[in-house]
Amino acid sequence: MGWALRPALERLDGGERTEDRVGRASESFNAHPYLAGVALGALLRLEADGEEPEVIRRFREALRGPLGSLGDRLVWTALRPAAVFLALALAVVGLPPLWVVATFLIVYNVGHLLLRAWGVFIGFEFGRGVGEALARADLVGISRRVVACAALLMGLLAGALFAPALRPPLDPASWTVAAPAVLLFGWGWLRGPAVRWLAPWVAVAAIVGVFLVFPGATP
Amino acid sequence: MIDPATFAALVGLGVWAALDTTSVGQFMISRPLVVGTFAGVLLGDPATGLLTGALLEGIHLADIPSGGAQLPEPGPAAVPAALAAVTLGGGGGLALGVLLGVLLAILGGRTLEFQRRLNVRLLRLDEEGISASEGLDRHLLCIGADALRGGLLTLTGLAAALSVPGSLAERWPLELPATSLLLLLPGVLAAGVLLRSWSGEGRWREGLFLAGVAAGVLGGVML
Repeated sequence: MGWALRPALERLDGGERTEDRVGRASESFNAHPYLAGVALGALLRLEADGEEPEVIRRFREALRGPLGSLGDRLVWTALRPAAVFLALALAVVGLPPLWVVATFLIVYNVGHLLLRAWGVFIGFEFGRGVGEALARADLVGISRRVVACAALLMGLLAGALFAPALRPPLDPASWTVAAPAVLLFGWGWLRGPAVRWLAPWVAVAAIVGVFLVFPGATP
Repeated sequence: MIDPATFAALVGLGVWAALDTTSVGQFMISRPLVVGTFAGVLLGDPATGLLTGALLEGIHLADIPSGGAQLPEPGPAAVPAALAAVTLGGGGGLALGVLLGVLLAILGGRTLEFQRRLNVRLLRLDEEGISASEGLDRHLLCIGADALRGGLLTLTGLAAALSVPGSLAERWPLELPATSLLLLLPGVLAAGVLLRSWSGEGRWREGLFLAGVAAGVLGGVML
């Protein structure tokens, strides 16, 4: 934070008290990386307005939690999965690989970069009033809408991948994967994040299990 | 065997993915979907790279980096995974590639924890009177250390991928489509976890998901 703010802080008051200001800005801070710009802009504004150091410190502490949880909700839980599902859905319908990747990166980073730029802007614009500005922006509402898109896309993808098992004539063999898939999905949904760590080990167990059950077999 | 230029490019891709995970940018170049595809392009088989990356992406779908959670690092791991899948080929290559990717991702996550503790020591923030240039130097030192970590991790993975005997892949009994379906299973678990994490306020997201499934099934059956 101090490193990022230094060029701007050096322009305040002809460079007086820059080291004090940079020192304050360099104290421990943690928030979502894309919303840290809100804090960056707001803290710069407070320094420019000549706020007391203790006020700036308390304000900085107050920002950490909300910016972290807002960013987690909007980006990691909403935007990223939505972009992934969109890209995977396009891959399933046959879009060439580099176009799939381009779609993911463009969709994701348009949202990402807009968020970063907007955050610095409103932080500097509103300073201590940035909390109200964030509330008016309704990032929670935006994240709900993005999650809705992600849920729909996830369903579309699941349905498209599941469809061959239902296409006539029904193939019992396809249910050897479809049935465990339904069970695993249900288990993941029931237990939630508590079983998140198991997914890689399901992969390991599946692969090692096939090698053990079919030793020395050829396709 | 692969030519030195391609090998170097793969290492560079792994370094880029490691840096993009946290240190530099976070533009999601580090997602296995992206890294796997790029690795596939470098190896002349983008489709296999995409498939490998997509399967790893599914496995790590529910890895939400919030609250200081310590997670695997699948980005750099997707490079050796794609290499194994492309060079070994078929269902066996894909299975071994994904297996390698999963294990490397777990190792990568551990090295990331180590990296963060190292950053604290390198930055020495408790020191008084750090000049601007010293601050920048330490910052860049941490980024350099992260790049080195990513490079070593990728090199380790590439060496492992090139060491896997072809006979092991030939023992795999499933064709590529069946292998892909099997390796979707962990991603399905992760998808269930993700849907649950969205369910904080009512069940309407589940409704949307089911509507999507119905539409996907209808489209898939009819087309």
